[in-house]
Amino acid sequence: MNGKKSIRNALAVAACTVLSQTPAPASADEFPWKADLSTLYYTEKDRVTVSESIASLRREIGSDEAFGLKVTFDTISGASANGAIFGANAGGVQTVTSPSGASRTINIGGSSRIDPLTEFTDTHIAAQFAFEKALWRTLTARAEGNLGFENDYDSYGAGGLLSGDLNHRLTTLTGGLSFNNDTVKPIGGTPVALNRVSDPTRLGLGEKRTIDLLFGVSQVISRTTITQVNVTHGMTDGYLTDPYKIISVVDTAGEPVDNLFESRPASRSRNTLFWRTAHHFTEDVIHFAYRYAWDDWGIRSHTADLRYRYELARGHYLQAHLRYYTQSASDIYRFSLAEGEPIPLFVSADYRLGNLITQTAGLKYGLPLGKKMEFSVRAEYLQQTDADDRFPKVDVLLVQATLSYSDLVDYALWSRPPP
Amino acid sequence: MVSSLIRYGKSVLVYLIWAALLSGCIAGVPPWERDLLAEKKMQLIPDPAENEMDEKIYFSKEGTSGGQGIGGGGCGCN
Repeated sequence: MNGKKSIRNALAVAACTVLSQTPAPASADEFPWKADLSTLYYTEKDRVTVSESIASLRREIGSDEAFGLKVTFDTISGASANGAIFGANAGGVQTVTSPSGASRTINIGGSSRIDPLTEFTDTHIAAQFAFEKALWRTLTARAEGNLGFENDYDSYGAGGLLSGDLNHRLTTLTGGLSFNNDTVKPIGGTPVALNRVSDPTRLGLGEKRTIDLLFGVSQVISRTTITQVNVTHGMTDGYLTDPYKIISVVDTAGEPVDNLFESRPASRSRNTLFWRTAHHFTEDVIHFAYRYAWDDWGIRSHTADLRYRYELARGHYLQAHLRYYTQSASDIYRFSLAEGEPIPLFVSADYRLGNLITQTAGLKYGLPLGKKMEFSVRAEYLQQTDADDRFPKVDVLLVQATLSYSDLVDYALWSRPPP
Repeated sequence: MVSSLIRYGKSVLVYLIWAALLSGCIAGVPPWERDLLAEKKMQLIPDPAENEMDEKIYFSKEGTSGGQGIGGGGCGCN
């Protein structure tokens, strides 16, 4: 009897001991997190100024799940090119359209710039929520939702990515799919395509839907080299016209006699082939990327992007950045329309659909603040030129400062053993 | 839309076969030799904040965009 009781007691005590055992509090290393705080100042000569900040956080919530949150806030002010031609008889006065949809007239003929109307601003706030889960040892899924709001634009999106490791984790295959539903809502409504700019008729909101597909492979080539190739395909349909862009009708002398609202097709199919590689020189690192992009509006583009990170002492570094982009004009692109010619169904004088070249050069300086924290600041200059030499150059200066916390660290900070 | 989806599917298939063939040619890198690859500066996107700002700038200034990823939210800047 006593023996039985003592066994029962011993079992009860053992069960209670097991049940009452609270798991040890997770250390920071066990559930790592990453955070980035970044702010950008972007200014175009005589045009737009943008100030943008990003706060992003990624937290692992267990051994196989992670949650991510990213908030972006930016303000934009200034004027952007609307596609119209500056007439010699215009007396240096040009009508420009603000992002919020209000037109204004600027005088750039005199020595000082006179803005008869108040400066405008637009604000953009966006949030992204992401959830990642390891479905299997080598299979990870990511789901994300996006929201974005501007004075004249709303965006809602959702997407998912599935990544699988193969070949002893030397190869990773990734497949992704995303949807976006956007609303273009200029103040007063969208203009009627190809109507005279002076025509006050406005239609309702513009809606557009986008589906993007991605398939990618990343591959470890050697101890010091990794590479990745992606193919993407995107389809957008709906209101793809830019409500603020116009095209001039010119007479035989090339002087503008009229301005019309532009008109773009209601669908667009886009493709990219993207390749990037990173190579470690055991101290310095080089990143190179090339992209070929084409769409059914007739644009073909090539992009080359090079970043070379040069290690200084004690984890400080300098990174040089060079980027070259060139695109051929879209089939719907025209610099202007001739007076009396039949107006095409689709036509735009937006220089971004023209024969365009973008060149970028930048320098970044980074320094460690402790083992997992890093501060970096970069300055870049970029210039856009019209290969047809019709639109004026766009000169851009940008400065970005970032504070980054990550569990991924660079050994260079801590006297790495010789390779 | 459907025909372009089929075209996309075909190109992915061809691509997969190439990837499978090529991956066989590459000598393995054992886990204990992946120290350099594990560094932050060797990640495919080492600085996400820089990458995101760049993506947005070029999306709003050029006729083509994307390639690195998908989604991320639309913007009225283009």
